[in-house]
Amino acid sequence: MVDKKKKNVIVVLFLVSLAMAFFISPFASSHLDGLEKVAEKLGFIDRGEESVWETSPMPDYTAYGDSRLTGMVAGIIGTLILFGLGVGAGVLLKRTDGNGNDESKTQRAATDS
Amino acid sequence: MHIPDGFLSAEVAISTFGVSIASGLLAIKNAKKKFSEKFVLLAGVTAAFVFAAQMLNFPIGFGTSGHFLGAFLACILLGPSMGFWIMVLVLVVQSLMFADGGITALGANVLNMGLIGGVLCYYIFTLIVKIIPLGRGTFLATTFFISTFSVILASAVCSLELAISGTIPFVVVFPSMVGFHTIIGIGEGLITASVLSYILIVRPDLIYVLSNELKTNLKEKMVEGVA
Repeated sequence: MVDKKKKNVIVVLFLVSLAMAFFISPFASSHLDGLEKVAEKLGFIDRGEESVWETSPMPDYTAYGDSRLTGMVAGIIGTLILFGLGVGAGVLLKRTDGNGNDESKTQRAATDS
Repeated sequence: MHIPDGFLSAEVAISTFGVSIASGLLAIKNAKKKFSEKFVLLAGVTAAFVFAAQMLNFPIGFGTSGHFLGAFLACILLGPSMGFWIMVLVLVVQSLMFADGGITALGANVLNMGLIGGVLCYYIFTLIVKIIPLGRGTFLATTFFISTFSVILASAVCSLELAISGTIPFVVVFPSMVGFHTIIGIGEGLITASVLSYILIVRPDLIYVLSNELKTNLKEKMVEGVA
């Protein structure tokens, strides 16, 4: 029961993330962000170097082009990559003394009761 | 608040890389002691959520936008060590794949957003909840205020780095940066408190700070409050 509920939280947050990246990102504001605006206002935005922008695979969240759809695809790709990396980091860095399992069992039992 | 290449001097870029790498190594050591296996999938969705939410720039007026940072949320959900590493992953992917934030400025961006906005604010939170009576409402209110503060604090440190780099005098850049990021921070606080209020209802034990750090005085109250 609790396991199913736990799964649901993960699934819900995962679906919300994908939905944000795919459906909502096209409506994101294209205004300069806080730092960019300050840089523009105070006249140091030209110091920013553009070179790296051109060599990254999906500069400014566009996948090989700049139409709305490619932005949505870039968002999905990034979200899936981050999910994979996050799980990978979790597996690599989880505690290795074996207490992790025991404690989560006790906690599940506590939540069940 | 992602600093692009060219805004920072070599000295600032290198020293912030140094601090960020040292923090990363310390976080690995700490995670291996404290990060429980049951949070592994949550680490994945937190990374995905932070990345996706960071794409959603919202207008804050003055022809300016801001977006969610997520560092404080990640630390509250996963603990400071894993929260820090989730921010490192998000910032590295953004920088290398999406040209959001410079590669030479990566150390500074990790320091500002991961370490200051995430880890430091996490510890400020643990101190504050020790001295206030904590229930569901005060928990969410505290997370709202500290996540708002986390964005302001990160922007202040960012101003400092720009000033030390000789890009712009501190007294000039600080008021603008903090001004805009106070408004952005309110958005941060609302998103953080909303996500936490949802998880608090369905699975309070999946909030690291409740199940690991504040076991004795907070967890029971929270679970009680939910029931």
